[in-house]
Amino acid sequence: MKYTICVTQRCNLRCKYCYIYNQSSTMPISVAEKIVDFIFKRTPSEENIYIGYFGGEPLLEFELIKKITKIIEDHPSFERDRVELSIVTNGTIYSEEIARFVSEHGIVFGISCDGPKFVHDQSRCFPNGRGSSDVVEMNIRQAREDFPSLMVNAVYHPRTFRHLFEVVDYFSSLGVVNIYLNPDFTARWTKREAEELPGIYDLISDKYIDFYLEGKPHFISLIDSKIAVILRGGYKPLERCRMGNGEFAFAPSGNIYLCERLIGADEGNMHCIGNVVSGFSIDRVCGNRKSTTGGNRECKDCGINDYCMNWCGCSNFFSSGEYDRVGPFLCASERAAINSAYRVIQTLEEKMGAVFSDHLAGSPSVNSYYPKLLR
Amino acid sequence: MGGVIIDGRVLARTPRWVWWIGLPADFWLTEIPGIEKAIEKLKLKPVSKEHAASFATMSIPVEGESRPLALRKPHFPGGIRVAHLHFRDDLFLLNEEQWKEFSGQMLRDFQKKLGSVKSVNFEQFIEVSEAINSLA
Repeated sequence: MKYTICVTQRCNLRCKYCYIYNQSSTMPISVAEKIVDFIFKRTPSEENIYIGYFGGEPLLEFELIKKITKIIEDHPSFERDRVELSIVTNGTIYSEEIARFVSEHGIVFGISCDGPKFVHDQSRCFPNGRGSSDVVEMNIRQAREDFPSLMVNAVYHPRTFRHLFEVVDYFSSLGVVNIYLNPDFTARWTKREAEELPGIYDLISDKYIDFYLEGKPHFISLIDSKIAVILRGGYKPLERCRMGNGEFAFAPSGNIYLCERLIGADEGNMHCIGNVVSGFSIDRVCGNRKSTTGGNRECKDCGINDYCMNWCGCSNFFSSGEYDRVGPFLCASERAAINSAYRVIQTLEEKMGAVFSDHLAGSPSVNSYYPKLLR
Repeated sequence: MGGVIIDGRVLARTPRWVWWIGLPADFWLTEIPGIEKAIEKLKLKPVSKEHAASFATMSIPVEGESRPLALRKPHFPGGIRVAHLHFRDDLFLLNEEQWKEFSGQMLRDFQKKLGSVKSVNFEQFIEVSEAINSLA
C-alpha cells in the first residue's frame, strides 16, 4: 500500500507546473496521528507499507517530519521490515542534521531537479523569479556524498524535452546514477512534439547503452522500467495504479485523495474521497471513478496494452479529464519508451549477455548501485 | 529492510517504489506456469537449500577491488546477482545460454505484440473531448 503525507502546502519555490497549490496550511500533529492509525489499520497484514513525505516543500516542516516518523515507529503495529519511508524535496533545503536523520531512519531520499541550469531555471524558481539551480546543484553534490543511491526526479515539458539527453548527462556528471524522468502531463503537448519523442528517447537509450558498455550503468526510469516490463510480460495487477484502493494521499487538513497529484488546492476539491477524522464518503469513492467513455477503444485492441502505463489515473485525468481515458501524448510517449527499451535489451544482451536478469523481479535500480558486479 | 551498510556507514534504503507509481510485481508468483515450463525445457536442477541459503554471505572476487563483492546484497530487492528462477521453494540458476533462451521467449512474445500497436490519435482525441464537454 502506498500512502503520501502532504505535511504542508507551503513551498519556498513557485514551480510553473506544480499541481499542489501553494498555501499556508501545515498538518497539525493530531491529524498526523490519525493518519498513521489509518495507515496501519487499512493495510492488509501481508502488504508492505510505503509512506512518502510530500509537500509543498516537506523539509520546511522538518521538525514535523521528525515527530511523524516517531509516531510511525512507535506505533504498536510498526515493523521495520514492512514499512518504508521516503522524502522527495525540491533540493533547496539540506543540512547535516537532515542527512543524519534520513540515514538513521532508513528513509529513501530524492531531490527534484529538472537538469542543468538552463533547463531547471525555466520552471523551478523562487518567488522573486530567481532560478533555484545553484542551490539545488550544491545540495545534490552534498547529498550524493551522503547517499550514493540518491534519486533525482526531473520533469520535462514541451519547452525542455529536447534537452533530455543533456539532462541525463548533467546528472551523470554530478555522480547521480538513479535518474527518474517524468513528463509534465498538465502541459499542452502538440502532435509535432509527440512525433519527436522516439528520436529523443532513442538518444537517451544510446546514452544508457554507453553507460553499460563503459561499466558504469545508470538507472534511468524511462528505460529501466520498460525493460523490466518487457521481460516480465507486462505490468501485473500490483504494479498498476491502485488509486483509492492501494494508494491514498493525505492533505494537511486530513482530507483523503486518490493520489497526491490530485490534492491541488484541497478545499472543495472534486477528487477528495473523505477525511481521516470523519471517514470516507461512499458517494465520492464510487462517484469519483465513474467513467463516461469507458476508456479508449484503441487501447483495448493495442498489442502493447499490457506494457503501457495507460492505467495511470492522474496522468489520464490531467490529459483528458477522466481517470481511465488516455491522452495522445501519453500514448506516444509510452510507445516511444517501450521501443527504446526493447532496442536496449537487444543491443546489450547481444554484447554483454545476461545483464538484465535482475530486472525480472525486484528492483532494476540495483544495477546502478553496484556496477562493478556487472563487469 | 533497514539501512544499507556500505563501508561501515548506514545509508538510506534503496528506492523500492521504482515505478514511481506501483510496486515491483512478484514475477515468481504471477508467472508460475511459464517458469515451470522453462525449468522443464531447460532441464534445470534446483540449487540445494544449504547452497541457496549461503548466497546471503557469498561474495565474488572482482578485478581491481581490494575485497570480494557480495553476491547478494542484504536488503536490496532484486536479490541474487546472477540469472536465476524461483519456483515453489526452489532456486534454479541459469547460465548465459539458458538465460538467452528464457528471455528470448519473453522477447519473442513481445515482438509479436509490437506488430499490432494502435495509437490514440491527436485529432480524434480533440473531437471526442469537445463532444464530452458539450454534454457536460
